[in-house]
Amino acid sequence: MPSITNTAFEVYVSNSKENATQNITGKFSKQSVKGNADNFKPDECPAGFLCIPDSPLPNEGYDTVYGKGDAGTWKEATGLVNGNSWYMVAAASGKLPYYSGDHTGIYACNTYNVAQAKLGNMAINIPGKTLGLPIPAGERGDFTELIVGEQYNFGAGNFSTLPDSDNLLVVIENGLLKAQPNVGKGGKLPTDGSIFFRVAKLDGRFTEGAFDAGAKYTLLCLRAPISAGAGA
Amino acid sequence: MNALKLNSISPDIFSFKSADNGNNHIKVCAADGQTVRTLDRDKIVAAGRLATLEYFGAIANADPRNIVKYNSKGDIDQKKVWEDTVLYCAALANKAIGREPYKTMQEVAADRKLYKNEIFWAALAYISQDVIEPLYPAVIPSATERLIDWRSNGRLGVTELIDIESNDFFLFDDDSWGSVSSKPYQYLYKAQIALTPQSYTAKTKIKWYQDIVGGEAGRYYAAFMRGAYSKLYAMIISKFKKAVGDARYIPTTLSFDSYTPANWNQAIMMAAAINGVSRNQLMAMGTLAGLSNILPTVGEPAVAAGIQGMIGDEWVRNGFLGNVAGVDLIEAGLAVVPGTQNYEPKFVSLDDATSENIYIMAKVGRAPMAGVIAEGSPITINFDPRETADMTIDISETLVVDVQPAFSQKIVKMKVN
Repeated sequence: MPSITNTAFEVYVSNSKENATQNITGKFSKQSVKGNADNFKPDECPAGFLCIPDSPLPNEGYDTVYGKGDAGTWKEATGLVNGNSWYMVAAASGKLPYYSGDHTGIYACNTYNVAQAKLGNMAINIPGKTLGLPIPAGERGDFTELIVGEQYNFGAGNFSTLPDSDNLLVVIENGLLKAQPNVGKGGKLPTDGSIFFRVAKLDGRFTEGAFDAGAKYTLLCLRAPISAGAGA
Repeated sequence: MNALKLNSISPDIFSFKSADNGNNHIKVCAADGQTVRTLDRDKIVAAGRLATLEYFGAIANADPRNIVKYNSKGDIDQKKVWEDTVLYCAALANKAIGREPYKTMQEVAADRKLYKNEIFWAALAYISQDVIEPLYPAVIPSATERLIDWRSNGRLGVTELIDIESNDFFLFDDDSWGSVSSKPYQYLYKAQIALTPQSYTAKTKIKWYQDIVGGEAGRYYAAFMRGAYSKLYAMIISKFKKAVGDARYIPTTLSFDSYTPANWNQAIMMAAAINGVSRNQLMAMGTLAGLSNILPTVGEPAVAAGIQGMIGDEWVRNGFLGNVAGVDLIEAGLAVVPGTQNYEPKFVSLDDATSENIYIMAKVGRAPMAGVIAEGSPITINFDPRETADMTIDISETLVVDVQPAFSQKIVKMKVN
């Protein structure tokens, strides 16, 4: 994922302080790792980019380990992986099997780190800036699970199609948000139990320092019924 | 556990004196209800350190591989140290609400509200940190001392930049009197590495009755420390091994595929010349399996020579020769992978699956790896009591560190088997 400008993510209305596992640790990969770290393709993950956990991250230091081989030799053994730190990949859509309740299994990149710049093989922290930070390629960061009924703020860069008053239904497509027409304006609610959003506020603005920092869209996270329901 | 290292801990840490001495005493009625005794936080911290050291010392002495034994600093009543610690924290909590301090652990156990008291847990968390922090260097395996330089503590969130000065030097061209100005320019470039501490967390649960009311000081503190030092050791070894596979850090020429006396001599001559040190300022680090191969050999195929004589005596007794051609041989042990020790043990090692490796490096100057620990670390402990049937307490223990290869000195790698 190349850098995207104007991305941002804020938890807006949430019970996250009572949900100890809403934030998890992840490293963003361009492709599925499938349990083999050799498949890891590190890339920058923009703020608010929507992801799903793919495979557990190897546990640093315990990733290459040895067991007893024959005749006093060693043999390479399976290393340890982390219990709840993951390779994250882009969420293709809002439909995830195995999730049917408030938990969505879909996570937004929401790093709690400070700004980090990469220069060659150096990753340098630049304390101070915290709005809209991406997770640099190959670095660990935080991902926040979207919970049905909670509200989140996203930047304009998080949308592949921006919402307006006629297009307030938002679905997930390849990690980004895509606005669709309202019901009654030619739009349809998803009917497959997938996660979608309704835009709760269209005209918000982020402020950073003493400056306007771009559009802020407040989205209410919803889960579609399995059969068609009422309009948004 | 290195008993020698435990023995060499400075006695100063057992006479802990906080800056604000006056506020750290609480007078409590003794269990007999008659006499008054004083709970002194400084003494509690010092006793906690001693109890932890004795606990690790007992583990070291139980290990038959340890030739050097831990010299106990005297009998210490682990339960009593723990009781004083808990009573002190309980007294602080009671003081805040105007209640008199508890005299016994039975009273602490009977107070069901205490286990949710924030002051109690905050006091215990800070005592735990004060006990544990100075003991870390002593329980991290000593082999890593030569592998890593710990730099000053960094501010949380701030990257520590380390300069690696150029080790290049100028080449003199053959000149003639009228052409001095025509010679090529040469430059020196320094490199930088960035150390950005990252967090590593162990989240655990302990139980109020089992571990607090019925706890023991050494076992309690050791539980915090063992996972943390194992993780640090594993990270240092793992990052070191990744770095030595990189030609940027070890040029191909400085890598030998086998041990022979001729290879050994060539390797140490190169290591001494490139690092600008004498042979006796070099050391060779490896596991016992690797180091035991460093023996004089004769003939083709090579046969160990002189093993029946004095060399054999030292080799059998020690497992390897202490010094070969002026270079000290230093053993680096294995780290056990947590959770594997009882079924199919797995290890982190300087060796590879198919080969045993020796690393020849200078004893003086900078270590090949650089590390930084964020301020407020190496350990931050948080207690969070939960309303559960067995009254559990969530603990998160966080290390904030970074380890990176610096390799300002050059290392020679030799596969020996």
